Amino acid sequence: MRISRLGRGGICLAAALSLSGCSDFVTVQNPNIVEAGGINPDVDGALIAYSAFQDFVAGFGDIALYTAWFTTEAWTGDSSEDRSEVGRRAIDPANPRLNTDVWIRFSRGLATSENTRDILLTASDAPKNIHHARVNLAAGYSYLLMAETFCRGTARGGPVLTTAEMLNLAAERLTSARDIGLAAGGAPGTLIVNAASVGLGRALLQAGKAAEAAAAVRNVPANFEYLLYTQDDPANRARLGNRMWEATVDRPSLVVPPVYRAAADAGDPRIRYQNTGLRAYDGFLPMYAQRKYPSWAASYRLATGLEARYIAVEAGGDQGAMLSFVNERRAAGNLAAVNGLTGDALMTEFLAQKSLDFWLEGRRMGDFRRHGALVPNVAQPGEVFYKPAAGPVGNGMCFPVPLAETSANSNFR
Amino acid sequence: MRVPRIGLMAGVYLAASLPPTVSAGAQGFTPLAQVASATKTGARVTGSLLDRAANLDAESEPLRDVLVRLRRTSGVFVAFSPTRVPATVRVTCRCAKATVGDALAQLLRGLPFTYSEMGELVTVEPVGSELETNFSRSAAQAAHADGQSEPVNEERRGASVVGISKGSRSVVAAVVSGRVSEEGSGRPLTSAQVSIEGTRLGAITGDDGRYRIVGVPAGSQKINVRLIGYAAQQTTVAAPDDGDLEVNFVLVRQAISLSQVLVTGTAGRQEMRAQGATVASVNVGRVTELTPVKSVTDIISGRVAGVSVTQGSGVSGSSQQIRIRGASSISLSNEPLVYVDGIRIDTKQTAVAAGAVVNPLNDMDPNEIESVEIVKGPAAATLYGADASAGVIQIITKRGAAGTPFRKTLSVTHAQLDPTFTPYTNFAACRAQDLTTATLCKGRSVGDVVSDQPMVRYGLPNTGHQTSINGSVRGGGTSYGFFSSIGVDQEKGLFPNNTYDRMSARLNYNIQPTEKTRIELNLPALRVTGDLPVTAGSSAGWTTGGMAGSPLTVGTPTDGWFGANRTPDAIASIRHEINSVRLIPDVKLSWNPSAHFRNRLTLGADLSSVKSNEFFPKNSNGWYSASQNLGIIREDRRDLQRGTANYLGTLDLAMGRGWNSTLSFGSEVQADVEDLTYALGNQLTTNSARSVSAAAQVSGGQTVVRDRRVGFYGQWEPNYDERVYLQFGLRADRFAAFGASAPWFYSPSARVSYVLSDEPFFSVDWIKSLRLRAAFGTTGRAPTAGASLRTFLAAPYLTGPNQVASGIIPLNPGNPKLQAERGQEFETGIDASLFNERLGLELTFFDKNTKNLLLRVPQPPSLGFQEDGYRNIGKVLNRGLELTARTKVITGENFSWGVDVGANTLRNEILDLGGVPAFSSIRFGTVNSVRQGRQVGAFYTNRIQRIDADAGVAVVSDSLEYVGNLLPTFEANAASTFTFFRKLRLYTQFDTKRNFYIYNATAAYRERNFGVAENAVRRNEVLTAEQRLSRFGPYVTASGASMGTGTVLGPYLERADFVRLNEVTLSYQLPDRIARKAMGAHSASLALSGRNVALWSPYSGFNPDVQNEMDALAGRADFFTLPPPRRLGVRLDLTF
Repeated sequence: MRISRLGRGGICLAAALSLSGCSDFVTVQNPNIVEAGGINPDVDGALIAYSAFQDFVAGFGDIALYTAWFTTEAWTGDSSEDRSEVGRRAIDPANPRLNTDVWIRFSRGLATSENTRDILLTASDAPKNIHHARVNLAAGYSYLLMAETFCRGTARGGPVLTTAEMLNLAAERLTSARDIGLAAGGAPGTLIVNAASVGLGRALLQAGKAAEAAAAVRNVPANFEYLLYTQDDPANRARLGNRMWEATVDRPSLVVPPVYRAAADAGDPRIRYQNTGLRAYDGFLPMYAQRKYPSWAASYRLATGLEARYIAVEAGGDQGAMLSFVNERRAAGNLAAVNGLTGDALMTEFLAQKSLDFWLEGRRMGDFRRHGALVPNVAQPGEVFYKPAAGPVGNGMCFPVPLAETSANSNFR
Repeated sequence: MRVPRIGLMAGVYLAASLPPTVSAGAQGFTPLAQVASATKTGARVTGSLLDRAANLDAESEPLRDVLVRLRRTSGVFVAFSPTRVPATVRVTCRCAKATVGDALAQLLRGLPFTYSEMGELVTVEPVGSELETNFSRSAAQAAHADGQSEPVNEERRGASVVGISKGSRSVVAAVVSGRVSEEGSGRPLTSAQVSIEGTRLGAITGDDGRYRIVGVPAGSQKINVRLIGYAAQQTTVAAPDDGDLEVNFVLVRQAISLSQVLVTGTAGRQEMRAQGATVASVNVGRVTELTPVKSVTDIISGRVAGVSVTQGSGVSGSSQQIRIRGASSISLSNEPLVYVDGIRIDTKQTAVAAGAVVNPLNDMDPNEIESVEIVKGPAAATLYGADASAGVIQIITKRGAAGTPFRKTLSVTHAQLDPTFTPYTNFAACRAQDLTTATLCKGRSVGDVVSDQPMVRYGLPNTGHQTSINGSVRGGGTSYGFFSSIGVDQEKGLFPNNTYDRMSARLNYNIQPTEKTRIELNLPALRVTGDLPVTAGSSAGWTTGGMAGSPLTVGTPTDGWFGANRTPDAIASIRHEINSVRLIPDVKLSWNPSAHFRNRLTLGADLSSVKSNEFFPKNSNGWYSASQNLGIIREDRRDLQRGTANYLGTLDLAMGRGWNSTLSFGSEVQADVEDLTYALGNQLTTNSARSVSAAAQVSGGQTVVRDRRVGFYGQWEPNYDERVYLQFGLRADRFAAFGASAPWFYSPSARVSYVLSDEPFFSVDWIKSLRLRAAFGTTGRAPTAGASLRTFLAAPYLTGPNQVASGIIPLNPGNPKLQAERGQEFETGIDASLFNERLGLELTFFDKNTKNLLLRVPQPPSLGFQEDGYRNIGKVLNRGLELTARTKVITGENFSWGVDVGANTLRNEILDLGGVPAFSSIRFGTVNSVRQGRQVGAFYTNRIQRIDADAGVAVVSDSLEYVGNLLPTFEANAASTFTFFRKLRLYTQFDTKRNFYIYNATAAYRERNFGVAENAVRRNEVLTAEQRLSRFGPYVTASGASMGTGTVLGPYLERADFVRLNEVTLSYQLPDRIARKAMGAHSASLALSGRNVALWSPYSGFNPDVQNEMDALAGRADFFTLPPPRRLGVRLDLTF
């Protein structure tokens, strides 16, 4: 078979055109994807800072939920053994829920806050840039919560951090947030200053620096509240919705334990629950549903003036002041005053009132790490778990860093 | 080997009964015009067709074209033989006002043709026997006169003008017809290709096995018959110059049919003897004769060595997982590519509900399928590009051929679906508070154990049923063939809200407008509607609901079911509906300017729209979770537009000294646009207003994914004397996944096939044929577009209450150096036909290495990206032996017995992970792990080392230890066919899988999580102390640390080996006279069949051949998975 010269030329031309056109052909733009090159830090500072802060908020809800289960602020009414492990204080590092629900979401908030902080540090107005203050606040609280919750930590795939190192980093970021917020001024600046001060006091108290902690919270107004906003958006519930409500109505696994129900039944307004008459997600526990967060859009309290007072009282070490404060809080819960409490008994009652004041707000884990057995109503090692099929309660004091992190982050090897 | 029976029937041909058809095959035959009885050669008759107005003008145009145009301008059918009228002959005719007769006279002046009117057509015929010489000279002169340099082509050597006319001098031909049937059974064989050697005449047998070829030149003719799975036959007949000739063929089943024609795995069609790599071919007609099938996966399941099919679940409509030669990819899909008639179709699975995944592959009606070819790996898959390393499945649909008799078929199947399991009993111990509140505990004591099985109480699962009806017509006309089919399949599953209905329609049409041109048009349309209930692993489902509930709730609104007040009414009210519409049109244009140069352009599309819908009714019964009780409706829509174009050119090159070769070249382009949208409505107004907008709270979203790929390939295939075949191929691809700057991905291949038994020196009596083959090939696997880019995902943030803004979240870290992973395979084997065709063997060794593995390397989650980025690292090995053996144990007139056996071994091993530490799937934690030196997804656990009864603990290993394989290392199937008195046939098929594990998550969750298993509730009575500790702990590691239950899964990782009686069918071919008398049909057959009949396994669950997830790593877990039902059915096939 012979091919004419014209035919050969045509084939060659077609091949050449085809090959040269391939680059264009295989270049596609997918509309859902934002390429890294499309982000301009100078222009998009607010966008990246708020986005990072929302990552932090999304992770905060799960930390609050899982630490509630861990410290028996709530019972785990979930069918998943992985979540029961949390309630039993026997979390395996390979626990997939620990990774997907808690670590991934929470550490993302830390990573994006730190990344954004790095970017905004180069901004010309960095010392008074409100977005810069906001991401420092998110990074600081992230380190703080990580220090309280996890035995060890890390950020952005970096080195292993001890609790003390995480607390130091938390204090550093929160100090920056406070200072930048102060420089930025205005209502947003003031909010950040107070929230950072409470966080700083909390971090310093956790680190055993009582005097510095008390100093940090000294100027926080008593009626101050810093809220983390949520929203009822069915399309973005994992990111924007209240996670406590999710565990109440969507996958009903947050069960109010007897001691908190008893408080509510006795007229303590700080605890609100409802007997749904149904079973929890595990099909076993009766579903006593919390009503503190009554919707997907219920906000979390990140920091409050009340917490500043708790920090100041504990850091002050004055037992008389503590007893007085305890009775003030008992009165808020329609409880009779107690007298003559001292030492561990007083501290236990102090922590009990704190657990009622900040029920399901993610405060109890730090208390548990600081005071251990003095924290009341935490499931004790060896006791029969409230779901007997799941085995006895373990002796865990903190969450292990998930296997997914330790196996992929060479710093843990 | 039996001699074919050839029946010659001398008969008087009645011209009037012969339709004006042309015999032309669908598979490459070219048309040949025909004539009927000549009555007026060269004469003009007043009022005749020749007197009609020609309305024609031509200026130096090819004669053929002018004759074709004359048909249109005059309205007179002018019949002629394209093979006898060379394209080089050009003519001029000013015939606008002339009659047809005058025009023909002018057109044929000086040419050795005459014309005549016969009935309703006018024929143009060569003149006399000297025609050849005269014509050659005349045509050559005409060609040169027109300045054409190309010599007269040689095609006329292969054909002759045919005429069938009693009494005609110049027109001599025959009609050859007959029946093709199977040796032994005498069953008609459908889709056999019958051709006249040296011509392009041919036909395809209908469902009654009959064929008909019109216009066969008189004289000695060789007739060839081919059909997948049967020995090709050739016989020489003396075609009469006037009349009919009946030639019947009896084909012999053959294990190794080297003459079998393949369309897959090489450029262009090719006999198996020339294919150096294994391409398995399944004759669907043969399969459906033996046993009713309802899906493509049924067709291939247990019929091809090396192809493993695993059932997803027993939910009607749910899909199966297909693996070919193991699993070569870790992070990408291991599902093979699927082509239908050369068009790559989408097989992305849709998870409609937990335990119910739908695969569009099974939308196709098996009644439309002629054959399925399976390319097992890179050695043969090079031509399918750098995405074919998991193999290729090519589905070839039925088609008509010119000259094929018009036949109608009707198939009706009805089957009953029976559950193959008895639900586990739930147990509970009465507590103090239960003695007054729990129905079953009243009158009992604390600690008394009560039991219940709510599914049984409610009469579940039900019996299901399936009804399929398919009607088809097939035939051909003058120069065209067609196949059209309409099918309806309706299935009702084992639970109240499980239906799956499929409707399919297809029109395959082919036409050969000129000798060199052929057009094929395939228009299939598919519609699937279904309601697939939740089963596996969800509390909203039947199996979990019935087998995880507490007996303590019997008598309450929950009534022994799991979860909230979720009784069968509540579960049945949940809807997971699917509604898909799909069109897969394609058109193939073939242009063969000469016998040695062939071109084919294929343009196709896969246009599908899949709507899946989830509905939780608003209710005041507290059936579901609080938010679901307000009513939820969610609709997901996936619209896919895939366009495919490919071109293939083939040149035959003579090399001399016995060597010939074929050079093929082409390109393939694919572009996809996938549009995923969803709408969600929360808080329904009423349950009857089932639209999203009727909900109080509406939201939605959209994702659009575009992907493109392009490839070029070339292949050179020299062969020596049709005994030694070599193939050298190269393909180059580019993908949108890797960006415009990525280099081309090259896939070379080389193959050799040596038919040793065709050598003159080979004379071993007991070896009929022997072939040696070897192949090496490369292909790959690529992710979707954008995989190499660092990206963010749009995600909202809040700046205050109800103040939402658009933000971002890190998505993919990106990797600009990303490339497709590279699968390299070497395979070698022998094919032999032994002992007078009583034993056929096909033995293949394969060694497939996937290098440059595209691994989603788990990154530290603390980096903050939502996805793990891809990296090219690591190697996976898949190595094994495949054996196919077909035996004819007994062959007799009234009894025959044949056994077909297929078996394969598999060594799957991760050779290298590129330094990446072992990692596990997310779904079940550490259960399935990826570790160097083990299978992909091998089972791991903290192994129980010893029981310390004194301390009351089970001591487990400090680290995860290997338990067993995810993939079977040995699979086999054996099919036996007994045939009695040619009409009655008993077919049985067994299959087995060995040496692999399954995670019995059902038992683990019932015992550990829900505490409803007897082992949990009565553990002190039914378990020994050791068993108790091993199942429930507490666990401590060897080094003394306490350990949770999550990674101690040994008691629930079980051997999954099984032997299954998969198919039993008793079929009867009704005598033709009864079929005619009773049903007016040419033929009829009736079959009684059973599928999934019995299973033997050490597995303590219901069925080990299921899996919860389709993903490679999530692995094989039985998580309240509904086992496949047993199907008992009857099928009636009629041909009219």
